[in-house]
Amino acid sequence: MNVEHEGSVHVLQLFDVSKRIGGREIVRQLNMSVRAGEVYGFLGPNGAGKTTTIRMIVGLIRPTRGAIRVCGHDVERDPVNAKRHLGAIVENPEMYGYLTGRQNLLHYARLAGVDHIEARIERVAKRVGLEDRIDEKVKRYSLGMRQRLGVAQALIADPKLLVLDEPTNGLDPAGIREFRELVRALAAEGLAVFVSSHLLSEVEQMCDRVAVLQQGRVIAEASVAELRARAGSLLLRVSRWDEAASWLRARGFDVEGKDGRLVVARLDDARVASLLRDLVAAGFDVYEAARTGGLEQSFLALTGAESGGDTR
Amino acid sequence: MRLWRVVQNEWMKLVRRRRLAVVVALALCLVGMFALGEHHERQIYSRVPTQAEVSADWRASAQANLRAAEAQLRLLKDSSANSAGAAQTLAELQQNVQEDRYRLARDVAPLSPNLLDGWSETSQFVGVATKTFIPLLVVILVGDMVAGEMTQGTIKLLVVRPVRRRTLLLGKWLVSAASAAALSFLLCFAFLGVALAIDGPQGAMQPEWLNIHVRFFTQPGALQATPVAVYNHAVVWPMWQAFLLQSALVAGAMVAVASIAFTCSVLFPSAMVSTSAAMGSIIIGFVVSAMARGQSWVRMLFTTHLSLYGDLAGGTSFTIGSPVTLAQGVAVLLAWTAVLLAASFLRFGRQDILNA
Ligand SMILES: Nc1ncnc2c1ncn2[C@@H]1O[C@H](COP(=O)(O)OP(=O)(O)O)[C@@H](O)[C@H]1O
Ligand SMILES: [Mg+2]
Repeated sequence: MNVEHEGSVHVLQLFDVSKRIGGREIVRQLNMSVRAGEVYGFLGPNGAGKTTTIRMIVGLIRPTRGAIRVCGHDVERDPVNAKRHLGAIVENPEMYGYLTGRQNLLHYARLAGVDHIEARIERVAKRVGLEDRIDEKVKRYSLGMRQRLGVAQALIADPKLLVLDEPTNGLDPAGIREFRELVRALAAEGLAVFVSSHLLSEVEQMCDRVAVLQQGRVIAEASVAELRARAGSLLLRVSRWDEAASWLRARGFDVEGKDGRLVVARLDDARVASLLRDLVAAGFDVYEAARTGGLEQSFLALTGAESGGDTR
Repeated sequence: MRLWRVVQNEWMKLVRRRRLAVVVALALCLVGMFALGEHHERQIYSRVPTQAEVSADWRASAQANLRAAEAQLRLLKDSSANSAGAAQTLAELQQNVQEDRYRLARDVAPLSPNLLDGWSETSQFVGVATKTFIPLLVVILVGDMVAGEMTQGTIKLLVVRPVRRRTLLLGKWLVSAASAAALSFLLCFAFLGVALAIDGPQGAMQPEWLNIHVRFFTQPGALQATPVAVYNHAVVWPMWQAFLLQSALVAGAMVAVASIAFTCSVLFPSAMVSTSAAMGSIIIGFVVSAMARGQSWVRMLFTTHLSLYGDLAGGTSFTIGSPVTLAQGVAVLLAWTAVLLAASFLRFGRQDILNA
């Protein structure tokens, strides 16, 4: 097997990774792989084992069984080469409060073996929008600024893989949107991003692929676009709504109507298109049509009744 | 290369932490206390009626003394000193001979008796401080080197870097050891500076005995063995030179203390617990080595050898009631340091970092 070749395609690979702590199996037989340029969501309720998995990826704890490779290098056996391409935030990005933002970044840049440290610090500080406050002590930073500094330290070594553990925790909506855009931009530049979350909506907006973790097992893995296309409801506002409802019911659609709005359940892309075409052809005026809950429903279908709950 | 970068980082963190300010403030308090004590002693001395000045022709009397002592020594040579009393007599004669020879060879007059000697005052104070205050300062300075990062959670972003854990730990230890050595060395000279400012600069050339062995004589009827300093292999150094050596030995002993505190900071994940554990082990070790006087295993405790200069100048043997040498003291401290550091490297290298 050509490890180098494989490494160039898959930036992160987990092979049958299990972790047992104090006789309890926290994480069981994970198999995942993340490609360059891909944002990979790791979705699971609190306590599912997301942080434990991420700690194994970044080398804070060792897997009981299995192997993890970053860019083809085994994290346990060749930690220096594996971590050379890695940037990470594990839970909260705790930094040295008594140092300035710049000193913190200098500290991490030295350890990462970065050349031209000053220029690199300027660049990542600008990238996360911290260039004005970079010379202030970190203990005076707001939560949002700390998160930005956390991203900056993860980017300091120009990594190929970014591992983020619930990075939007504690951010306000504007901050979350900004963060999402940053992650998408990084992926567009070719980074692989592995991001955990307990929020389905976040994964839906940020990720290309998603694995669902439940009690330490990956119970499903799929591409987000595929899931979105697969099923969902259609929300309609049409003329003569009660008439339209019975017209649709007669054609076998699952329709509910209320106050001039219709909700048609369980439709994929093809059926939505044909429904709209037929509706217009039958002389109804369509004022508004919106897909909702696509991902969520496919999700429930995919993962069975046990999921849901916290992952919404 | 990576190690050097780790050292740079650790140094940057050490000098910017509040702990350093606390340690410096405490050290200044200590220097102030010593200054007050010296000032007080000087006032007492100034109230004592003036004693006879050292006569100008001290050389003549020294030469006469030397000849008399040498003659007596020649007489004693044949009878071996096998009782405490005889050994004492022999030791005093030898000491007199060595002192007079030193004074005559180097032209060092005895100090006037009503002058305080800042050099020997400092040397004595440092001998006490190196067993008590200075180790506590060192523990405060480096007692949370690793535990602090565990408590704060900053260890996570340190361990995810492309640096081996043992390199991180070695860098941290190097900085702890170097800062402990620098702190104690500078502190010794701060004491000296204060003492010389108060008492005056005299005394730098006065004789100081090193490499004194101590023999213990068990006498019928006596409960404890009687210690007698033996000057057979003793060397006489000028005080300033001996003080330099003493400061270096204090710095060396504090590297051992820093290593103990460092190990505590690896073994205990909380900064509070690790600092207390290190402080506790030093205080308990100190108490044990004082209480178990005369037991030979006391020599194996690290707290016994915190004053390595005492090992060399005989003071430690008198304190613990059994003979020790500098070589033994250094060996004991090195052994403790090596064993504890091995434990911390083993532990940190394979530890799962779960709770940070
Ligand atoms: N130090 C620990 N010792 C034992 N069990 C732990 C420890 N840390 C976490 N766990 C357990 O591991 C499981 C997964 O935790 P975690 O990975 O933090 O979940 P998540 O990040 O998905 O919320 C939880 O059930 C938790 O109780
Ligand atoms: Mg978590």
